[in-house]
Amino acid sequence: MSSEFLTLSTSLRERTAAQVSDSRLRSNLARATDAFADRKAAAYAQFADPEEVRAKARAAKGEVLRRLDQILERLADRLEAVGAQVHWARTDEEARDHVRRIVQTHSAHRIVKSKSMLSEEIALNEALEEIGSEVTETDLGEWIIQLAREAPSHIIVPAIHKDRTQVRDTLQRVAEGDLSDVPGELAAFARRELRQRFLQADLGISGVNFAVAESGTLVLVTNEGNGRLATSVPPVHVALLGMERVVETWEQLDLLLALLPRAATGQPITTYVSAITGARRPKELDGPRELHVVVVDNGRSSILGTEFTEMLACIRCGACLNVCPVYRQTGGHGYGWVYPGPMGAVLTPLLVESKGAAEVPNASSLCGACWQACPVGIPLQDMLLALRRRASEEARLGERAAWGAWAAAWSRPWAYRASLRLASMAARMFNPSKVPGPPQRWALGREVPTPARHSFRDQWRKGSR
Amino acid sequence: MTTRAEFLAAVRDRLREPIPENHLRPLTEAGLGEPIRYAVELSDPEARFLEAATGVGAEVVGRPEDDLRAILERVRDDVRPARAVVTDDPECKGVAPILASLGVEVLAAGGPSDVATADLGVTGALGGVALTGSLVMDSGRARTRLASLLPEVHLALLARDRIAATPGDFLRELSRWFPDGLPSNIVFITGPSRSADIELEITVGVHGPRKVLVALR
Repeated sequence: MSSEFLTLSTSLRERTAAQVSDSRLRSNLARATDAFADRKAAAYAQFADPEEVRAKARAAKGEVLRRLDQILERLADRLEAVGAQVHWARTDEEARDHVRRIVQTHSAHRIVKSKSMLSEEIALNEALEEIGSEVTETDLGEWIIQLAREAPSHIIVPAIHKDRTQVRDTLQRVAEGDLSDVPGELAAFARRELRQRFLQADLGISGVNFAVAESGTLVLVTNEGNGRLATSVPPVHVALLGMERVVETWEQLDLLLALLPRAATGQPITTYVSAITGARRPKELDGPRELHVVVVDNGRSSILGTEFTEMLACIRCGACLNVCPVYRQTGGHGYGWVYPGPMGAVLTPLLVESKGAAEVPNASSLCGACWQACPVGIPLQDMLLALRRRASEEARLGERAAWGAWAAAWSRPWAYRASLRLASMAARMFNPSKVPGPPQRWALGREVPTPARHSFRDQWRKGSR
Repeated sequence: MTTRAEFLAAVRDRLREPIPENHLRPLTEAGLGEPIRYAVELSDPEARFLEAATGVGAEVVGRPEDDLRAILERVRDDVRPARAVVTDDPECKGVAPILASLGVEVLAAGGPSDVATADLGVTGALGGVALTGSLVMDSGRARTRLASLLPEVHLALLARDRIAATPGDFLRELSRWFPDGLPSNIVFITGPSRSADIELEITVGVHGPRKVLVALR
């Protein structure tokens, strides 16, 4: 990863410290996430019974996951039947190799991209720049982030952490005259700049929101039109498909298509919903002449069949980010990888094996707001808890012993009482934030409660005498 | 390189045992059942379409009873296009000569660099969706997907009797809408191109058309 923001090698505490004390960031985030929540409620009100739609969508995803191998096979057959070339990638490296080979075959120097979180996950831009291609992100938010050399901090609104003056300052780097900070004028500047790049591009790369197996169709959900441009103007289109983003039928798609934009931005439908079935046909005047679909596993199959399987039902709407009390304070960069918020805190340790990744589920309050907000009802808080348990089982012996002793003490009345008396005495003798080592680390960022001199039980006993 | 067989075998391998259930929140096998029920009045699809389309910022510039020439004249006066591109959609029959007679240069649809020079794109619509105010474009009939995308203004001509109530109604009947199979590109267009990437403030015309005009036929 090229970005300084994406690193799981620092500790969670280090990554979030700066963000939590950045009041500008916090007010940008609060304004944006509140607006999303209001719009979402209005869009859900169009359903006669929103819970029924959610339940059906969840069941549909469950059906797909249980038969994922067969459905992927059907998709591949249909894709090939409509003339698309299908490439299979078990790992991120293999996915990058596939795209690089296609790029090199076409000597594609100029590449335009429509937003794809999967491409962030496999660090595709860097891999293409290494072989001399010039990659332009064309989603306005992604372009801002690319110019600022940052990572997205939200999966739907990548530059959510920046306000208009910060955006102006970023775009100014590639502008000749002085830019204003009016969003409409900044967007118009982006349109002019990026239009030329679309027209000159040798190859377009997009993600895929949903693939429909029964017809071999790729569905893209966008608002700006850059997704349509990237998949219509250049002579070659490469689509990156996360292997779980498939449905079997158009009926299933209807459910997910109704929920995704409502949960993401509060829109009943996005401005553009494109359904791409193969490359340009003989009588058509435009559209790519070649369509390549790279189906990516990159750790997803290791989630399948485990207690975390339902995470593969995620449709990447970002609703869990907007309601998460932790995300709303820290923003996305603290999570350390491409997927932030509750869905990221579950997905990161499942896809990335490292100590840093195992720590990410701690960035949650287990309040369950994410589960309530999730359009497909993924029990995120249950998964966060399970991941914390898993991480604690792998923790150092000392830490495990401490937790074990606590659990044992609080399971017996006499030991519970003794522990409270001990805590009360200890708290008066020393402050944990002053004790070097684990106590100090634990106390950092916490308000350590002062145990009462006499416990409630003691007072009750005295009072009742 | 991983082959299809290897990739799918790895997935199949993970599915040999049943997926563990979350007992608090089990994943039911409930079927799809009935289509989504909406709490929106859909008994008059045309009225709902116009309301929803206007709500997302599209402009209605003509009704079925209006004369095509009168509609195009209004559009010319409003948009002042120097150059227009007109697709092969059946609804566009007669449009090119009228525009030419109104002093607008008409391009035949062609490659991107040609279409990009037009300031008005005139297309038909295969259908509409009442609930959302969406227009459905079919790259097979139009032979182009750029006329509704590159010019700053997009004028779509939609037959009043081709409006489905909901997106689901359209998607469930794809074989009726596309008897010869799916075209390479279908796009549902709902209002002008928009972005909310800067402080969530809605700005229109980011990459696609700044204006979407609809004339019902």
